[in-house]
Amino acid sequence: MAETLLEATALTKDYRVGNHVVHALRGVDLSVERGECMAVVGESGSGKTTLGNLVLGIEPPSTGTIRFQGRELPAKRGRHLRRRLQVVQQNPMSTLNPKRTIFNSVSLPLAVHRLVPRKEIRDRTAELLRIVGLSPDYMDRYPVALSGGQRQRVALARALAAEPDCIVLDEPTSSLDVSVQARVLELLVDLQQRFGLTYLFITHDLSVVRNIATRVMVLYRGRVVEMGSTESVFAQPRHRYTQMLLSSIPVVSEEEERIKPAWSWDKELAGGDRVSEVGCAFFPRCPYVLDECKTQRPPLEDVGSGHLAACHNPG
Amino acid sequence: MTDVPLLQVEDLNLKFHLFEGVSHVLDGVEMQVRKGERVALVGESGCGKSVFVRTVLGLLNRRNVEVSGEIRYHGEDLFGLSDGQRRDLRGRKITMIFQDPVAALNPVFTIADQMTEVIRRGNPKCRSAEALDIARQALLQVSIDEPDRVLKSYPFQLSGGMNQRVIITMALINRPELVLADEPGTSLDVTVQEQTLRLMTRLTQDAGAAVLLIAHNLGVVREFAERVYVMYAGTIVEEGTVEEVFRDPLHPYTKALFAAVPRLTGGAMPRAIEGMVPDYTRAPEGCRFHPRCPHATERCKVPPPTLTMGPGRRVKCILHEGQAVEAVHG
Repeated sequence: MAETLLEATALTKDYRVGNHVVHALRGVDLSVERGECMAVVGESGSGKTTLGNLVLGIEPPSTGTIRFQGRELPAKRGRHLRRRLQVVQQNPMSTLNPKRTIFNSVSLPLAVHRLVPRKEIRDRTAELLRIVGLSPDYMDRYPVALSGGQRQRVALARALAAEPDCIVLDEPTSSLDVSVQARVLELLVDLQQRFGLTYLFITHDLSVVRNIATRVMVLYRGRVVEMGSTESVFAQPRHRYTQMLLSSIPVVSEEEERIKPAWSWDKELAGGDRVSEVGCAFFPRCPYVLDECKTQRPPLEDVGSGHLAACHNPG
Repeated sequence: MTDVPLLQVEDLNLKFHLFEGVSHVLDGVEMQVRKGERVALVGESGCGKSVFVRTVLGLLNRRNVEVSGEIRYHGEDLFGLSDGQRRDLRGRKITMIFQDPVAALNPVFTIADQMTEVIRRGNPKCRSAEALDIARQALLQVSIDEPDRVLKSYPFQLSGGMNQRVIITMALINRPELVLADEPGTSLDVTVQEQTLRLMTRLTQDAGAAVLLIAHNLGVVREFAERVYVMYAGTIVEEGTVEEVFRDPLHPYTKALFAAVPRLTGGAMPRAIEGMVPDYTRAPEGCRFHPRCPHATERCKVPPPTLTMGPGRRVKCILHEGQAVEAVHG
């Protein structure tokens, strides 16, 4: 049994917007083992980025606890704890400070966490750039001189500089072209094996995590609706929302088309943005709705060999 | 029924005169869009897709731009028209759907203002009450159940998917003959993107409009288009029906694009294409893909022939010379 690196229990997060409250997360349990890649999938507004922010300690949860290696993380984290959880953000154009050279950005964690003697900082920075497949010649350039894919590599190098245990990847490839995306995914897999990293991979596109995630967690409106191994979620998605997500991916072959669940999109167009506060949050969009879906919230239950789903009428 | 295609592009070349030198962006582009047809143009970012669309629309009139070749619309050369005549085509007969719906709408006007303006541009005699009614009907058609609320809203008050539907409605409301769609929905959620594609297919079929879809996502191409052109570094390297190209891609670049797509069925990791799209001021001699191509030989340094492999099936690569029906050396 592998060690549980990250464990979150009953996480909730509310935001006050004007005079009403937005419930971004409504009770999420999460457990990530060392060395695995946990994918967190959902549409915008599902709470996936909020979950990442809570794990990183960017903001505190409203209720619930987060444990790291069995110890509860305090609201105000010390430097050594912050070092071990790093992040790569979505937009490579805004994640790097345009007024700092690549060297400044990548070497900052080295200095902050005093990881190498001052004399060796430059050498270590060059090494980090080489690890992510960039020439050390880029060290004294500014982010404007780099393409999107290259900037995402710099962001990865900066995250690696802190020698973390876990990296939260928040849509690391969604603003990149397919060919560049493939290269970043290759790099992520390679780095994970080399440094024994644990990933929390946040994305809205299920196809991206097919080859890299060990487990997939699907969020809808702040709740976990399905969770299971990548194999079983892709082969047999049980929650109707997961089926909808899978069937919305434009694929390139007949073979893939066959494994996509059938979905009636005309119903979806009409139901679009509606959500329900009672019962299952997804029922206004769901073609398989039963009467109990409108009144009772389905619990997250084991539907076979550790595969969890919260659905009254699973597929 | 005539044989004149709706849009015919022949040997289109476009150069930007820059401080760094002459940037030869489009190099001999040939393309045809027939009436009511759904065609896709696919390639990486920086391949010249958007520049091509802007050239067709006549939006690149800056002094440092040099264009040669022909763009014929209904057989009439667009370069022969005056600016005013081209403006008349734009927004009436040829319309455009942009990538980011929020940026394409003006934030300080309501949806009603923007929609009626478009409607009255198509039909200047239309009164505003009538135009509002047309807008309301059109929104009902894209499954917006409360058109009046949407019409009264400003773009920021609506979701991305809702804005996208408004944009598509606006692009089709004057019954154009040709819609140029630049990656619609890619900045939105996958579920919204799927809705967008389905909606576009339905509406353009109803209106009998032809669509030229610009895309970098091959899955989107497969779902939406009937025929596809693959563009690399400003040249069309392969064309054919979607079925043919997806069953049997011929050009090494097309193959590399397919290998980079992550598959739902799992299997091998997606593979990246080595290298980068070239600097257009120093574009490679001959086949522009040869520096990145695993099959490149010395012969790739001279311009490759355009090989016809069958009706409407062409590829620009010497690898297939043996099987070609006809070869045109460029």
